[in-house]
Amino acid sequence: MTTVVRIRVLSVLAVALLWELLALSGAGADDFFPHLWTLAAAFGDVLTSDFAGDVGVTLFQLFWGASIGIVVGLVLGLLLATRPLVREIVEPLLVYLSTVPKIVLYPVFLLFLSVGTESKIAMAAFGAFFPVVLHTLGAVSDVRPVWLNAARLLHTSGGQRMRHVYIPAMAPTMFAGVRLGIATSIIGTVMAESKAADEGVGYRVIFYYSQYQIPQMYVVLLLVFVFSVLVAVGLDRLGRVLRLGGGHRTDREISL
Amino acid sequence: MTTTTSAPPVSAGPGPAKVRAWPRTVGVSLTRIGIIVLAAALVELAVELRWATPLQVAPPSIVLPALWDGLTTGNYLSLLGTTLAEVGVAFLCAATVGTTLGYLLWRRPLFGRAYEPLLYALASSPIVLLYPVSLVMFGRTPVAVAVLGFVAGLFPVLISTYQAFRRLDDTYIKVAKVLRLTPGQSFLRVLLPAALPSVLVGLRLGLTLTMLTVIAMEYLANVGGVGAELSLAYLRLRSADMYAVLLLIISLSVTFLFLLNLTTRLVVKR
Repeated sequence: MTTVVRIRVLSVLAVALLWELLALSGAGADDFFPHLWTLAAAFGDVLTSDFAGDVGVTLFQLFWGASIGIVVGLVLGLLLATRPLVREIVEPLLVYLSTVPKIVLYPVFLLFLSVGTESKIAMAAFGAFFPVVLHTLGAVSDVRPVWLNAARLLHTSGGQRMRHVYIPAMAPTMFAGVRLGIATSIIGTVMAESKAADEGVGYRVIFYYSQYQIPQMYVVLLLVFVFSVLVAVGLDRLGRVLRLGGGHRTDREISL
Repeated sequence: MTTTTSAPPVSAGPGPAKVRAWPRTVGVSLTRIGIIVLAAALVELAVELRWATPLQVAPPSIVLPALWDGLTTGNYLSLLGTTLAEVGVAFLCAATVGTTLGYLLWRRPLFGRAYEPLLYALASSPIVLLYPVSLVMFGRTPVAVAVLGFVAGLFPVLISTYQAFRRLDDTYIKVAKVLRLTPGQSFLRVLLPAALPSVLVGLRLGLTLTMLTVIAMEYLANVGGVGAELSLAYLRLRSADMYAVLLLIISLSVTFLFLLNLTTRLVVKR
């Protein structure tokens, strides 16, 4: 066992021990630091309730929302990217809008759409849209002028230049945007569900919170975290398989 | 919009481009303002023509006076104060703890290597979703909001500090040794100045995340400043107030990014 691994194992044990000591000491409010076996039991509780149904609802909203946001973001991004003047005008507007936490638009979606699925899909779509469109716009600087000049010399059409010059050169950074967009989508969907909904994983979190079933709440949150890490790692792998790794402009690991 | 059509295309020549650069940027800015005004006019028209009900959208002619009232006679300034105080405290803590831990991890490379994957996972995990945990621990108070903002801002600062020191050129450390600087001197005169640019990038990222998280949690948990007011205005079905607060939050974010960019530019220039 290398020292690094030993440090990791010992750290996990130390955290578990500290947690258990806090549980035994009764620190915090009731159940704030549940015993580890209480947590394990809560796991069973959550899984035997209709948790799969809530997961299905969330995944459905996430899938459609993220897909809409990604497609719109990529198309609009590519349209703007190849028109320098329009891009110069619009890009700052998008950049500044993207600093607004997207969840504040949720009440607007609630007024226009329903409290049900549509408003969550809108949240997921908005979450995905901004990182994707901004990364796509930023990806234009990956296209070397030399390549464009060469393409012009070969008398290529606009469509050909898009397919053979722009998109291949921009793909890694665009993919980085998609990765970030999906992460933002997950956050947006779960946040929206926790604010106003009667189903979904986010609703489950806030349900357990309002019932003061803290161990169950921890379990659901833990599952959400594991899911988002798995998605991030999976997309990373996918990017490497598709040779789309190493896009620039990933100055933000996360966005809201 | 006609102003920009006459502007020349992007030209690489240094001479003529410089002469024309000024009117071009003015044209671009004017067009941008034009787009915003047009969007506002469209909203006004949409309500006028009943494409959207007044409950769904309050027209700008009502929202702007509501925003003005809120700022002058209402409670918007104190709400802004609460939000900014939460962001300020959270960020100061995140900056202090993050840079310190990042530096310590670099000094203890074994721990750095052991914790690196976990830290990266946490930095890209949805910290904001932990808001109910913060509520359980600190109650429905601004403290709960600030704590979550702190946690959200901590990891980017920590990681970029750790990476900033790790990427330092060995030459710097050797020079410090050759000059027989004390550990304190070598840190203050050599290591810190060399690492500072990357650390600042992390601080900027941390501050942005702290602000986003604070506003989001205020809205979600209905606690604290501007975010909570947005939630309340929606629940009371007062669309004019709701859009006024929304505009306030957008202005806050925009001003924030503007100041951040300005500071970055000043620091980079120096």
